[in-house]
Amino acid sequence: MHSVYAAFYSCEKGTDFIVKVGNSKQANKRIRTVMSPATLQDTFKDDSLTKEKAIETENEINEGLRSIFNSGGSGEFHLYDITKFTKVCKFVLGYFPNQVKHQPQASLVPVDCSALEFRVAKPTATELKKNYIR
Amino acid sequence: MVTKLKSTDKKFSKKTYNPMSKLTTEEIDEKGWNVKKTFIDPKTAQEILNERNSNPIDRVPEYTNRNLKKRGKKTDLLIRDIKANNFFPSLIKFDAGGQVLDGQHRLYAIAQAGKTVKMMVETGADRKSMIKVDRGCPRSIKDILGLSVFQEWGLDPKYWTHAATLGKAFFGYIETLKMKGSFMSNLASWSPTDEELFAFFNKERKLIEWSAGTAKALLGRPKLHGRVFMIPLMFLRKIDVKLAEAFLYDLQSNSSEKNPAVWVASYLAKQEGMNSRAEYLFHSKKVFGAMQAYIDGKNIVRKPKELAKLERNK
Repeated sequence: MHSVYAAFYSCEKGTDFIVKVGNSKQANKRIRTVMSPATLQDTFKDDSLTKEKAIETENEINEGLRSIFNSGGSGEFHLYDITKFTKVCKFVLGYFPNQVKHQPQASLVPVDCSALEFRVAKPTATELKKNYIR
Repeated sequence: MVTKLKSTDKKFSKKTYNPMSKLTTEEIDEKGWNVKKTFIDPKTAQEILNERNSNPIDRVPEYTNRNLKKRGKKTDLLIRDIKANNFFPSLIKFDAGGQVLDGQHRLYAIAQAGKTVKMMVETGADRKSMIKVDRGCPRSIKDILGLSVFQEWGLDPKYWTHAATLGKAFFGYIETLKMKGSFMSNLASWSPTDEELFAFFNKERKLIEWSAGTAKALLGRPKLHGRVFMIPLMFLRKIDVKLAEAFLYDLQSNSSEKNPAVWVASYLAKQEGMNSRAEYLFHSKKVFGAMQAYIDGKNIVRKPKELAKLERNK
């Protein structure tokens, strides 16, 4: 199943956070194999799209995220200051349906398991933010 | 494809296999090394145990076997299997002096079940063979279910351990709840036959597959992938699927300690080890209690320790 995914990572000091957006059949694997000193916190997936539509959505989100702040690199892995969390979160989640596949505390879940990933109403940015501040 | 052997086949000719032959004392005392396919009736089995078997408890210095466990779970299972015609031929071993080297529990089960069964009998076996054989691992419940039910389901082997452990524990809980007397001792002595297990697993297939997947996903969290949490969760899912999923989501996403799901996670994380059945049941009761509070839509409110102490002293 092809899906657009967004993964949010927290950084050790709690002053920054990272967002990765992509499209893949193996979203779980892609999300968990980034080489970065950050902890995976939340993942969101929309698997109701075709491959073409998924690529188009991914490009749109990445472009939007670069316009908020361009942290450089490949343009698919965005580093932000924590003060931008609400803005970034609202922007990213705006591309996902109201009932979204959400995996909280995703770093604790093995790569090949999606049993704890439930389709729920989109959480608010405030609810999510507390896991990113130390 | 399995092809059935016919009586006309060379391998199954009358020379080597006579379906009517029963084991006799003369055959046991035959000189030299022999292996035979034969029938053993309950009377012969009891006679062999009485006259050709010695245990350490008999205080004979040159004992051959271990002590016979007449009331063990495994012995009981053997008897039930023979009664239900679920018993397969295996090797009974005698030494050159006609003493039993291997098979006393099976012989006891044949005598108790009162049924004649097909067996292979080795006579004139070397006593030293007792040291070298039967030292492998016995098949675990995971292996037994893996060879039958899980392969039929097409369940990925990475889930077999959790599926077998949780499914059997859940079955044990349900059956023990129906019994009178002490829950803990009933749970300890409960032992289902393989066929009862297979039937239960097939009946609860969806629940067991779900719980195995969930337990695997909870591996990173202390105690949550074990029976102490998973069995109450399986009961919750049996009552309401959506509620069980909401409980799991709250456990991961909610941060309020008053939320029963969050309370369960932090309570179990604080427990160091669960070595005894009593300890495991004690903590399970706490989890059941928290889940009841979740079903009722209540929060868990704990009084501060000092306040509780003061109240107790009054």
